[in-house]
Amino acid sequence: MAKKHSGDAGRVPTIDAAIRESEDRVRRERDKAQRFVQAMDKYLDDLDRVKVSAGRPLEPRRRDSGPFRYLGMTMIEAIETFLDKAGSPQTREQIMDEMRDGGAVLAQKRPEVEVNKSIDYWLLSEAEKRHKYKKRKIKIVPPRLKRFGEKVGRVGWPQDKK
Amino acid sequence: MVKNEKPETLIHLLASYRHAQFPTNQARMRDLAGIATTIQHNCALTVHFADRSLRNLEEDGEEAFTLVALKEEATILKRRCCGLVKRKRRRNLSQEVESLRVQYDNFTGSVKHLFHLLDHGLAGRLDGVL
Repeated sequence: MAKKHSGDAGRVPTIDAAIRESEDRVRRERDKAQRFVQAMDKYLDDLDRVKVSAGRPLEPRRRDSGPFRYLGMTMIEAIETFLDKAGSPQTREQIMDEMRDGGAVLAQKRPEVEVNKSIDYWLLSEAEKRHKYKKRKIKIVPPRLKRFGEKVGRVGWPQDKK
Repeated sequence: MVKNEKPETLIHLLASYRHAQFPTNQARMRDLAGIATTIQHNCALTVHFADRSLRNLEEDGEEAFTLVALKEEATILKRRCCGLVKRKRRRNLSQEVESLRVQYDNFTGSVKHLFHLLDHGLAGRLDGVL
């Protein structure tokens, strides 16, 4: 009687398995890169602190370009950084493109959801948030973004800012 | 609905989700009931996780707000699926399936957003799970 082959013995890895393996490897590398950027930022912060204690003026950070310029930042920090750099209100599409380009969005499928949901949250007034939480007695965080017609800007900017 | 599956952590929640396979061709009543049951299960898990996470909430934040909004979305979708599972006949089946697909798509988008906020690494693993 012929011996039955075990299901897994000698099986050639499938394309799915190879893709999954590559994905895992890329994710690990990405996390490693993220940790590296965070460590370097911390190092720069420490150097800034030394400069301040020595009475020297601080130079602007060299993190405003490159594909990882928003890596390690939260979405709102990245959006605020972009708005400050632009100096005027931007459309959601412009913010979306910038976030994707600067590495703030890592989602492969429907990345616009991540950005738009963050924008929606930071646009909400305290009253709107309190309404959503209903009776919960919680401390409400103030909004950090403001509507300028179809565009979005920083909360402190005057309404007529173009 | 969720008897032994009460996810306490994000990774547990991820592992407990079931994939909702929408029909590619003409949908049958049986397909709709099957999808609705799966979605109902995923919503119940989400509601449980959100309830648990929000229990000791003291301060608002993007994560907390997303949890509250997601819980609301899951509750509405779960209720709709409950109705779909119980009813035996449908007038416009394909329209019902399409509208459920859109609603479920929005729900999965919100789940992904929550995962991105809470754990970037785990968020990548959501693709193909829901």
